[in-house]
Amino acid sequence: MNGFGIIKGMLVTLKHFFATYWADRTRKARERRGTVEADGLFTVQYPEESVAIPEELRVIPFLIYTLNDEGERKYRCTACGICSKVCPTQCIWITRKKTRKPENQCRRRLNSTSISTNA
Amino acid sequence: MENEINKPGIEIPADIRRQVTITTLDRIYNWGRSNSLWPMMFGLACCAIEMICTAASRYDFSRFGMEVMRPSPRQADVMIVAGTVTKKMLPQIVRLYNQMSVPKYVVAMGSCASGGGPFKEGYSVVPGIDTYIPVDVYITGCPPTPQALINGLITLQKKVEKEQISESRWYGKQPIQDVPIPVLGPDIFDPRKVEVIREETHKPEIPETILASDEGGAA
Amino acid sequence: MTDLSRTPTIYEDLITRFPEKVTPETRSGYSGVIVDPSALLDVVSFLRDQAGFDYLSSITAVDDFPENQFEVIFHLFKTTGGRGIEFKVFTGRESPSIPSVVALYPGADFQEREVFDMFGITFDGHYDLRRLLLWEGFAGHPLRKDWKEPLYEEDIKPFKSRWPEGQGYRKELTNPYGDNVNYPREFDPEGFESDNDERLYQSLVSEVHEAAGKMQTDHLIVNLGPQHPSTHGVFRMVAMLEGETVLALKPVLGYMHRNHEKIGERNTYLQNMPYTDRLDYLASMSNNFSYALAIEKLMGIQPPERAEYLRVMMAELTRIASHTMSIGFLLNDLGAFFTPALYALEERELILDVFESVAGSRMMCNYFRFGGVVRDITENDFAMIKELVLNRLPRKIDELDRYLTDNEIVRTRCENVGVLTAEEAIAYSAAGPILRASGVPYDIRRADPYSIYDRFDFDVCYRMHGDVFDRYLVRLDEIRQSLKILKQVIQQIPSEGPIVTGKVQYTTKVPPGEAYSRVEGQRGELGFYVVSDGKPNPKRYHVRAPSMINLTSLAKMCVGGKVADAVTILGAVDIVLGEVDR
Repeated sequence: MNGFGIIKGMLVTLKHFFATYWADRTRKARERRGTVEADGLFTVQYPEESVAIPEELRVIPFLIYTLNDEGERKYRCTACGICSKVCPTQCIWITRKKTRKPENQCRRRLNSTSISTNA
Repeated sequence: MENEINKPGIEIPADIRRQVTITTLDRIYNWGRSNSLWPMMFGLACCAIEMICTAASRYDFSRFGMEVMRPSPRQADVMIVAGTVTKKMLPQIVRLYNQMSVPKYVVAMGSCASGGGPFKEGYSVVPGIDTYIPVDVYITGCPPTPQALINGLITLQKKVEKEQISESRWYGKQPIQDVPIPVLGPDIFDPRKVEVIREETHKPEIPETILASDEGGAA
Repeated sequence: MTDLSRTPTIYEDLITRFPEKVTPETRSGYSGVIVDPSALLDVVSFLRDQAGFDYLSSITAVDDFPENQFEVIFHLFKTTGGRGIEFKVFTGRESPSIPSVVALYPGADFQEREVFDMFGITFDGHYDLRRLLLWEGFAGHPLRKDWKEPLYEEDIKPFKSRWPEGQGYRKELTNPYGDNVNYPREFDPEGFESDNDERLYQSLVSEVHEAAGKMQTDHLIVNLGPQHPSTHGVFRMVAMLEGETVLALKPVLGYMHRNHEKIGERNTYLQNMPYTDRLDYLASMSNNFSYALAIEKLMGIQPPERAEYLRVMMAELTRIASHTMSIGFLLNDLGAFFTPALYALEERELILDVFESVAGSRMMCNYFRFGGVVRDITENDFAMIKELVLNRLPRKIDELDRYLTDNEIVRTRCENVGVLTAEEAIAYSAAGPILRASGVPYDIRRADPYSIYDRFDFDVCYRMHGDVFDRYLVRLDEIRQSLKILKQVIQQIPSEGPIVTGKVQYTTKVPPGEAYSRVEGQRGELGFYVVSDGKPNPKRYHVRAPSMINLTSLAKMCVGGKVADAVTILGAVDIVLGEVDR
């Protein structure tokens, strides 16, 4: 019969429509929204809810520091310059300074770094 | 987001608090506008794919009121410039911006639209559109994740909510000036900078090593 | 069947047949023969008609600045499979010109225009030699070695101004105009009048011939794009219409030209890897794959076993992600506003989750290195991939099939629209699903296997009609074949092992030579042609972009149909602008 293909397609949409109500009726279902097991609604309501972020995500560059006894930040960057040599867009500028008397750590420390999104 | 409409600073007596709302014209006008910004469908490159993913079912931005993406500039409020802006495309972007009806906003999404991005050192890329059209929000990233784009759009909404009708540039006495459209010559030039260009190209030549090519060596 | 025993003798055959016009290539690391420009058309017609090399894969050029000459390199393949043939033509740097092969291989059209645009080499006999990626009136030919761009700093990265004493500054301030522009001497912008696309419209008018005795009707020239609702990117088509019928159509490219090849010459080899992500940005792992294969061919190294399996796994996942998106957006172009695309994008989001936890970024993955991959996958990732491949994706693809394939509206609008016969597809150098939907079962994973694809058992999907509906069906079949390959990868992958050959280092030493590597990408044959002269950066770096070469047949497919069909055909060709314009 002509038109049967459209009706078959509409049945798929109808099934999705009912699944958004039926599959989400438990609290556990609401937590698996947006993951592989999701069946009904797929929306994760950012900023109130969020998707689990993996550890390897590398969208934000940052410096790592340790807190010493006074609560000051000691940055672990030694200004080796590998990041600025390897950067494909050459947008990292680094200046160095020397610090006094650290025991068995590198004497070079980072003076300033500017990562530019504009130049 | 807290609803700021019902707190204009005037005390309402407790017994009629549920039946009476007092607000200012600015607040209600901005509330209506900021919760129904319609983006223009203007994806150029890779950032456009992240914009489509933001409009898709996982991160839905029609929850914020940006329900439809209008392809026609007359019906859109926000132009999200997503992707690299090249010199060949720039006259069309400026034309589209002129054709949008006020009030209009521009969001520069991605590093390429904010400042040239990874392709800045090329000969055919415009280093950021903010030298040609006024930009309201910059979103960095290559490409910015959908969460970052939603953050940027919420910032735009907050900016719209702070505006005042008496100081807005669209309802002033002067007519709104169109941005002049750049022309594609031996290289692109802005009609506002004609004097500067003529002065620079007519300077006497300094005898340095000029490399063999069609036009003079770069700076 | 192997052509390995035959291919060396084809070079000797050429040398004996055309003495003095064809000489062997003697530089170390290079292969092929050198053909004299006066004998080019004879050699090419011999290769096409008698030797069976009917598929022109790529034409590109290299600027030999010290030796004061240009080389134009041709790569030809056979559609029956096997290794190909390459040869070069030399021409001088003052007014360079060689004969054009567009009469023998119509697929050479856009590639020759691009070589003219970038180098200035004129091709005698080309019917419409205009600039392709830049606009008429641009000063200079950019890819020549002595043409410096306006924000030029140094010849090779890394620049010395960044470390150790690097005070940040804005690059525009080094330019006297404060922007990324440069003008010739004595240029007066006030008196300048632009061309306004006159040459483009003239070339369109000259293509339409008036039949004698017909009624004179008005022909309308309509621009479709560069900004239009079908979200394929900034692409413009100029059509000459008579009523609703398309009489002639010309694509205009270059609105996303990001000078990838010029930047590639400044970068080191490793720094080029993230730039290849941005070529076909819908699914970036295959671009990385092809580039890594090219450099590994130059260096002569092989990745270890586990790395090979990981590479194939990522490449096939990427193919599924890209094909679902293209099916969703074909339906979007037909008018089903966004529902099939939403179903397709759900699956794509889950695959992008896998990429995010494996490589660090959703789209621009940068996962491959020379000799392996950058990071191993964890147990969680492997479990998620298994869940996707064995459980969720087959179910959802069957549901998408049930939803769309029998739909009468889809069938009426897609069947017999944009037909391309097998001979035309081969002549126009179409590749990928377009070639296979026209009846030519040519898949590089079978015809000229790379990596470990010869260990897997899968079918080459092809259909016979060559219309839009067949291209949609071929893509759906290919998703199923990719799932089959992924099942075998999951069973066969070694549970542990090294993931990169040799020591991990930031500077790679690449011996001098040239290499051309090809990969069956989502849209066709993605090839990288890299020439190295021993320095840390490449001498020439060229991308054979499948989407741009598939567009050569767009005019042939659209002429005679209606304007609405032109949008559908463009959706089925499935272009990605990052690749077309590079």
